[in-house]
Amino acid sequence: MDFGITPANEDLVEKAKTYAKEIFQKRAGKYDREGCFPRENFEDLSKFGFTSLTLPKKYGGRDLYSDPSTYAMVIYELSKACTNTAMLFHMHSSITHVITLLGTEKQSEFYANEVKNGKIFASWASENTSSLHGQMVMDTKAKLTKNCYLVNGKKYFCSMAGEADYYVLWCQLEDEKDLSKSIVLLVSPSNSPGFIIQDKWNAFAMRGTMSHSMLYKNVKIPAENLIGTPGDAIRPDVLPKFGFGYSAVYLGAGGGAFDWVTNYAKKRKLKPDNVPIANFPNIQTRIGKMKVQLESALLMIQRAGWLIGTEGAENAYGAINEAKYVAAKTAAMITENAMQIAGAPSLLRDTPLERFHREARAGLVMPPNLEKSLELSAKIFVEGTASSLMT
Amino acid sequence: MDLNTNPENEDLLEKAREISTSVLAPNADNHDANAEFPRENFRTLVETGFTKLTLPIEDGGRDLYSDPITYIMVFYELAKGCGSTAMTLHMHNSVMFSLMKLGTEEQILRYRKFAKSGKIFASHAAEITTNAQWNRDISTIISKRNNQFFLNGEKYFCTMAGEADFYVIWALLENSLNTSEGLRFAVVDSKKEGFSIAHRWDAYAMRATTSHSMKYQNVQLDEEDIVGKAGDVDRIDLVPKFGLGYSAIYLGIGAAALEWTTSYAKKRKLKPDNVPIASYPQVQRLLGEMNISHESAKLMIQRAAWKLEKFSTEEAFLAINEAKYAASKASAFITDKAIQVLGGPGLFKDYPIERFHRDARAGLVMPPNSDRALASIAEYYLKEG
Repeated sequence: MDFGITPANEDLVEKAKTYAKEIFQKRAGKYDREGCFPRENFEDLSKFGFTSLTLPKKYGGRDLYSDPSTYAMVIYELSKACTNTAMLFHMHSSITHVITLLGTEKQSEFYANEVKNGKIFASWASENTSSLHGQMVMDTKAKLTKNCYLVNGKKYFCSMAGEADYYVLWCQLEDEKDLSKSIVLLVSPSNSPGFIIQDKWNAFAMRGTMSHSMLYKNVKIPAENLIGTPGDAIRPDVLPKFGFGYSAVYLGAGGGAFDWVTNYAKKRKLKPDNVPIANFPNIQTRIGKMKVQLESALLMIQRAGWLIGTEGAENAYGAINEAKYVAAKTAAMITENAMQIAGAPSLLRDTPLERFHREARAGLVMPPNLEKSLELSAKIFVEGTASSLMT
Repeated sequence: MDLNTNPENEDLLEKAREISTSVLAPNADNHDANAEFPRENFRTLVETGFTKLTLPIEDGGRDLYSDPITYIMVFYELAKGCGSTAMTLHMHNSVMFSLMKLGTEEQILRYRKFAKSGKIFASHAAEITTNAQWNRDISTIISKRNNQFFLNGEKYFCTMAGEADFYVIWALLENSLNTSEGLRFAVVDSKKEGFSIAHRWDAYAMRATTSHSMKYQNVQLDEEDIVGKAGDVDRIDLVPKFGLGYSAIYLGIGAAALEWTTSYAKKRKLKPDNVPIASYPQVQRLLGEMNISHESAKLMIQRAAWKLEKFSTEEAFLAINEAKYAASKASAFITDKAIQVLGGPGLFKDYPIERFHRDARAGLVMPPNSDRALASIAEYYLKEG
């Protein structure tokens, strides 16, 4: 096992750190409070070339999905400043990667160009009553009529609804039950008629992701906007990658809280001691535990990334779920402890701790959620096979 | 971060696995029950060259301290079979490594010869009222009267007391200014006059290490028995290296519990279901959590070993503390959950699980103990500035 940030892509992690610290950190509180899309961040990410990182090199990208460990560290660094931005960046990067992976030359070139023009891509799969991982069922149906698909259905957790320039819809071809033959990815400009925001995203956490529920009412999508062949979307080399990135997103909330509170503890003095609270053994014990967990989780993410790179996403499925489990648990544990260290002031929005705590809490229920990631990784560990679990 | 073991030393891992399953594991419960030194295990370890791991290659050794990743994985594998054997062998190999580093040319030749003929060396460092991690305040003293050196003092946790062929005793020269200046290693034939067991090792865990307390009363030393010179204790940074080995050993104990329990769960059936309990969701959850905990901790010990190989001990010190904390915590967790998977039978002496649990529990208090490790980590991150 030989992993870590690849020297050829090291600049990206460094840049992510710099942007996070100098630009995104300051804006994070606002997006959270107002529950609005981090538009300025995306304009900057596009300007810096970050929205095309996962595109193939021939389209001006950095093909970063072929270097999963570095990809994860870029997300992690962004998330330490703004978990919402990191999550949306991951959604956009993953789906643009998938488009160029599964799409024709012509499609890839066209959409890659759109990315370079600053366009943002969203991808919607979740449905309220069905499980995304494990047994996938799709109630959103696409019907081929002449030259276009007619799409009807309802999706939940539609990140960047009303904000992205393109929506990638995950739906099932009508009259075909077997998902491996009927799940399709359809790209639609977001201004097409038929998209109706149903339940506004007003959530406890990840408030800037704008993950409204969307109703599709006879959305017309040209047949040529079908990406790949039916069934491709749940190919074992496609689906698990989304979950891998989530680990880094949510661990970032823990990393952000850790950095903030360590710095705080070094400066904060209480009367009558008048020494930094960092000198108190109880604070030190918490910091020590947080740090060990953080390092372990980072290693688990890098291990999963390394396995994706060397063995393929299918064979890394167990490790991906293990990483998600550890990352989500670690982030929750760290933000919890960070609040204890800062005490009651941590409840105030003057500190980012309560925000990090909420974002980390979301990580426990976001896919693959804590229970599911444990169930899947346990099954693979006990039974030694992933293939039956993938769809 | 290249965590792979060195291909040149791959054979050692294979051999360690083989010895672990075919020799150490079958004997482990007996040694534990009788609190007796695993002598016949050591016979095999001597025959297969495992007592020469850290000797130079030209002496038939494997210079394995220069390949810390393989070193720790070897002890991880051995500990799966018997924690006590792995621990005592680690002590022997670590102390041989220090003697090779610190001895004069004649001393090195002499100790190499002994090691090659299968002699076992033990290291006696801890004193009950001093901080075992740093040995900064040692009251075991080497004094000189009429051109004769004498050793006096008392040590605790003297692994292989009454069993090893040589004791390497951490002691201070009389009237030295401080530990750094005065610390020496007295290397003494264990059959010499003046050694006595002050308190027998009858412990909850790691019972076969025979870590009695020892009294040294006017043990006569020749000048050639005294190894090291002023400043050596700072120069070689032995303690963190010991600590890294401990991490691997304590994690190996957890790994053994995980392996054993998984294979048990795949076979064990309960009425009326008559399917292996491994198919129950709650058992899978337990095994899943144990697996994740084990994988994370394993990465932490490998990372620490990698740092030790690439950087100075000082730079690896933090990672070693993190690894020790993670490893001992993981094993305590894993062995605890293993008992849950078995249910009541997990308490039976018929199974190795309760031994794994006891041995893993020892990992939390053995140096650097969990609290000390945490404090070191936190001090580092909370340094001013």
